Amino acid sequence: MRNTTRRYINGYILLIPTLILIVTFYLLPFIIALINSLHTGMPGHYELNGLWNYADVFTSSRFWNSLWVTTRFTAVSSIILFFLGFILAETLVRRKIYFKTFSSASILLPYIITPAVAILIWQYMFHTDAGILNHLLGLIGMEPIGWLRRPDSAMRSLIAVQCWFTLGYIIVLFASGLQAIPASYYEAAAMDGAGYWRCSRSISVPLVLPTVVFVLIMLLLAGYVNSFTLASLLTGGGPIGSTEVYMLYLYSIAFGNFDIPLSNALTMILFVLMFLFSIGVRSLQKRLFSNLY
Amino acid sequence: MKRAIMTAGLLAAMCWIAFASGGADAAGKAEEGGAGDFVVYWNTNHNYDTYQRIINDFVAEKGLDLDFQVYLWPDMRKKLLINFSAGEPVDLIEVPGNWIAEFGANGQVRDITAKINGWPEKSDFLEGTWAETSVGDSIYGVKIHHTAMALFYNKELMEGADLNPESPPATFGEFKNALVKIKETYGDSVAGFIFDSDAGYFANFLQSGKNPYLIRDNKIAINNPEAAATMTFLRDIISEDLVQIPEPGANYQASRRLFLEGKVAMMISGPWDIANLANNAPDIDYGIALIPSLEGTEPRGGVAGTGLTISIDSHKEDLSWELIQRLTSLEAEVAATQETGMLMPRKSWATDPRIQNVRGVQEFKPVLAAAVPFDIDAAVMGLTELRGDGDLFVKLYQQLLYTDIPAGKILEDFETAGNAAIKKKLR
Repeated sequence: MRNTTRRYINGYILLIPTLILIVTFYLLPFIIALINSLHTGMPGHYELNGLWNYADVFTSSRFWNSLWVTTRFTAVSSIILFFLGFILAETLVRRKIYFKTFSSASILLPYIITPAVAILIWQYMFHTDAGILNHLLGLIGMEPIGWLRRPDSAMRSLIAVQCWFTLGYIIVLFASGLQAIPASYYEAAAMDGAGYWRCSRSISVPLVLPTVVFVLIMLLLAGYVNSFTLASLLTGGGPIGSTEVYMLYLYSIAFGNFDIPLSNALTMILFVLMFLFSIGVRSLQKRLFSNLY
Repeated sequence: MKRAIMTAGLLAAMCWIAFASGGADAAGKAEEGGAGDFVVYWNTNHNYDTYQRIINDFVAEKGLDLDFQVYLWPDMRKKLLINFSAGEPVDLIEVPGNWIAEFGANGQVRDITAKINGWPEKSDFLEGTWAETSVGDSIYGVKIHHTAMALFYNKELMEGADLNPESPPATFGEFKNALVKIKETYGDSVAGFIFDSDAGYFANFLQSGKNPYLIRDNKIAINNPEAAATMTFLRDIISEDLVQIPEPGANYQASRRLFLEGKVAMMISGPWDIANLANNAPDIDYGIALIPSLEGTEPRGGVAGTGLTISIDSHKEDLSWELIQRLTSLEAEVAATQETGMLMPRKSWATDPRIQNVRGVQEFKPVLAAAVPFDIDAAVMGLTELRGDGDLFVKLYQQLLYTDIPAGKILEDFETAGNAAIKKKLR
């Protein structure tokens, strides 16, 4: 046997344990979920239902509402986190500020607090009658706000908590990208008379692009998939479904209504959405990096 | 090459051992039938000494290993779904009454009709208790607690607001009068009434009309003038800031805590809170009464309480049935009532002299007599989204609490969405 062939066989043999795990825990469940999504009934008593589950999903106003809520939540929180994260990361990396370590640690602190605890504290703070936010508003003569009681303000509150919670992580990601840029680039630009913002635009932004793609993926995952804990604990998806994100809807169909086939159909739809998104990010990545390198 | 094959082989063997040992254990237990673990699921808040004693004596007598697991309702529901899906046996389950009908309709719990019909004690249970554990002529469980929701009111706060503590509000007019007086007396420090975060508690208000049920003849039945007038009244007292409303996402305990702290004069609850009040606020002098209703209508409330059932995959049906009989015996009921104040489904319990002086028993008698299982049809049809804690009903409740949408429109929207859900189910 030739050496190269032997090397390939060796490689594949070493992959077998991982492949077993991937097939058992990813591929098989995926196939089972796909098959289940074409059925109806309770586990153990399934009947073939064709594409009716998908038809039910696409004609359900609750599905479109949850998709819209999630998209809005993800878009707004991502935009805020992206720009704020970049600006603060650059400030921390490039500016000479006092208590730099303390500031960095403070910004990251929310991310290392147990989410359930942090969200419950926010819930108390947002309380209309007993929350500290309305108490502070009262001190300056303002009327209390039903932070979580009104659909529009509930969504804003949710986005605010998401930003508070995720900002530190986004800053760390951007900072790691910015720290990889040699200081000599900035020094050379400064000698040529470039100011802070010019350096940001012409050095930091282009050279941090590889990190940007990763940050975008993280932000979209946080919005579409990880928003469940936040929405579930802070508002329970209310009021009137105004904060019912996609995963919360899926969870309620699976564990509230016991409708496993329908929840599997929702999972498949989410999979397609994420797949399309991955293709989009990949093509964006190619376009951005082909010019860069 | 040799090293690679050995490493891969070792890892594959480890995976196989891990999976095979788990599988063999489960299969072994399933095949044993009479022996092995006796799996019992129980609600955390109902884990009374009386039941513990009966269950422990039973498993000791039968030589069983007890696997006793306690859960809060939402967690138990998730766990049961996994058990039903995986075919894992649970030999005895304590669940809300209407879950039994739902599980029975889905074929997830045992049909014990023959056992119940051959049981001489059956006639001692209140007739209405079987409605929640049956689907058609098939019976799937036995109720262990038979309760209803009522108005709990703080007598001291009522007296302080110049209201007669022995004459709680019965109609909406009297209710509003009490709320106004409480507001005038205590300002913002005490709320007259608190709505619960659980929409099922609000459902009681809708039951006083001509129709006390959510669904009748496969159609939504609560879009009627009495329900619209009721919701309009409730909207008025909310907008006039006479009551406190919950935050979305607030937990069940939030409103209870305020009542215990004396910051709320009235709330809706059931006998399950009697022990809570005795343990955590023994100084509060409270009364229990029928929930206020619209003038000219009959006061009613929702039936509550839990029942015992056996999962379809249990291999110990006869043992489970024997334990059900012991847990629902008159002696067990009396002991549990004496321990906690819980109300029970037996007729002989209601007349037993040993429980007549237990706190809550006398006050709940008229409440129980007026109680009706509001959403039983939704449970039987498997329409969980329409039940008191279901998504559509929660939406109706939240529209009342947090929006200005007219009551008639809210009910109309609910009727449209509910009828569509029923139609889809019957498809």
